[in-house]
Amino acid sequence: MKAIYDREMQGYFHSPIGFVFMGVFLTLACVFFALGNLLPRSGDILTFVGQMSYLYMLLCPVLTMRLLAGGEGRGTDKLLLSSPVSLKGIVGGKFLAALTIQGITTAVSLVFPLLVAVYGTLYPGEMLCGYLGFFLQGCAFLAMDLFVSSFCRGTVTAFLAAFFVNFLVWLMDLWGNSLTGFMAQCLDFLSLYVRAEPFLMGQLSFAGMVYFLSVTLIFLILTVYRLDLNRRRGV
Amino acid sequence: MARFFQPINGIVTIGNICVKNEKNFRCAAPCPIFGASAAFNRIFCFRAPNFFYESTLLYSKNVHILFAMHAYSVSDPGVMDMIEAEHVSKRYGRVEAVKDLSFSMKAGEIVGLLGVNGAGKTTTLNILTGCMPPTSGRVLIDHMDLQDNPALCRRKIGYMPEKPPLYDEMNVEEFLRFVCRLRYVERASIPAHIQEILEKCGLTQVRKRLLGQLSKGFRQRVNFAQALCASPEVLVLDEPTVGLDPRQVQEIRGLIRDIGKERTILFSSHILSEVQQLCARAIVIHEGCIRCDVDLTREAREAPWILSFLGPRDRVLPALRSLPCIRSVRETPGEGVSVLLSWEASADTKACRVKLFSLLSAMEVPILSLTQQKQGLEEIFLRETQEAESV
Repeated sequence: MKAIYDREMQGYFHSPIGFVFMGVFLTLACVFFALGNLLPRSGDILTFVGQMSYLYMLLCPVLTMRLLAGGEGRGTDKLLLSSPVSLKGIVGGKFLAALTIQGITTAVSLVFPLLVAVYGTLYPGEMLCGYLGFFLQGCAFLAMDLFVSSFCRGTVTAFLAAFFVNFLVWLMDLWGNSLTGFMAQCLDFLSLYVRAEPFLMGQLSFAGMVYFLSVTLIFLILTVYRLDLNRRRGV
Repeated sequence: MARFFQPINGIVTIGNICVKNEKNFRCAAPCPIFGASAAFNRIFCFRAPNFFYESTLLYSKNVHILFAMHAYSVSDPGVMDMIEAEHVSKRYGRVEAVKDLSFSMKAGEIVGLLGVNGAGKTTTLNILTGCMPPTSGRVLIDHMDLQDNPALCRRKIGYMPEKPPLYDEMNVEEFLRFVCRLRYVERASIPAHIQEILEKCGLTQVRKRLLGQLSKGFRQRVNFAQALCASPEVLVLDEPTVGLDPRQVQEIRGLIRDIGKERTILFSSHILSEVQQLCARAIVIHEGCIRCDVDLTREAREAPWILSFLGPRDRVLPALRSLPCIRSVRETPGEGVSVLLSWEASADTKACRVKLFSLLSAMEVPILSLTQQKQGLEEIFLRETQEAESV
């Protein structure tokens, strides 16, 4: 698994993908920070973190699009499948590599709270809660997008499919906000955005943590099953 | 399965078998077991002179505990089956790509898998390398079931797929290092191992070149090199020379010949001359079934000879038939008088030819030629594939 992790990490930085993800993410985060914090002179870092979480919709597919899709075209799927590494190891290594890039980007984005701390008042506990929710939400998005990419052959298709699914998740969240009753409860339960709300209010939500970790694990397990199915079908 | 529990620091003891370090047992690859800090329930195998052991090991940094062991009796370890396919079938939806395929390969054999495009060669190789499971049947690699012990079996196999599985953004050395790590080669020995492979495959001068910038020939060499990582006992090569120019083809064939001296090789091809040059045995596969399993050395030995001479037919033919080492004499069209000669199975062909020359020179019959009619693999292949189509 470590070998696959290292290769994927190398792949991110030997191609523009890693830089594109980090560059676009941080540039847009700068825009959000400038518009939401600098111009109105606000020290509200949680709103800023909440806005950053919408970037996952667009950018997580960039990280996951090449992990599983395109392997058949390059022939590298045979290399991995004929190696002693298990499917769990393959999926785990690839997921952790994507998560590391996301983690590094999140860590770099801590410069914004630092600015608030220098020029205003920062509540570290509140900020850490927000960031924890943000990171866990990212884990769930990455796992979901990795699963989606396991259905695709080309990297462009994988990007578009994952983006579409992320967009649906966001639409579902919007739709849930406009509904009431049982349907709204169901949509709220499934929404990756609603579950992050307690964190964005500075609460350390145990239920939210369990939810995000469960979603991540479920999608990773589904990806392993999907790859096993592809292997059996000879796809 | 007997259970044993006799932990001794750094030593595993079972009955009269004592494993002190990794040199004392045979393992598929440089074994990570003794290098790892702590792990449990790994299975490893080793061979004593007449037994093959499959064992389950509990180990931590200093203590190795062998707690379960299975011993298989081996009559002659030198001729053990390295690959065994037993009634293997593979179905893609309604299409049955491979049907009830059974064959085995001894250690050290080079076997060619022949078939027209779409015959099921690649599917067979994918099954044998663990890339895809069979729909039914089983594959044994070095007496271990591939389904039950996938990781261990795959360590014993190096696979060279038809399409080079290369990451274009890596250079040759980085890629080979990645494959070594993927195959659990001990970290400390990776540089020396890679150097050896680079030299063997003639890649030393391009070791720092990006894979995406290599020519097709070099890409194929890198593909071959990655199959050699971790020194697998079995090499499975899928159409290794396809798409290469004649010089590159010769180079790759030379590599296969060299490597084949110390390893078991199964390779697929539809180039019959290639199989004839490299293998002592060929398996013809057609529409997913094995049509024939040809011992090419026997075929070559038993192929008839064509004798052409000038002389009286009615005097020479009975004289030829009277030779004890000749089984049959049959006339065939050709220069002068031409006959097809078949030797007795037990006959020494060299001695027979000497007798033949002596006889004809005593009769003062001039010999125009004596050549062996090579029953080409081509003929066997065409016969088997056409027969299948006509059925």
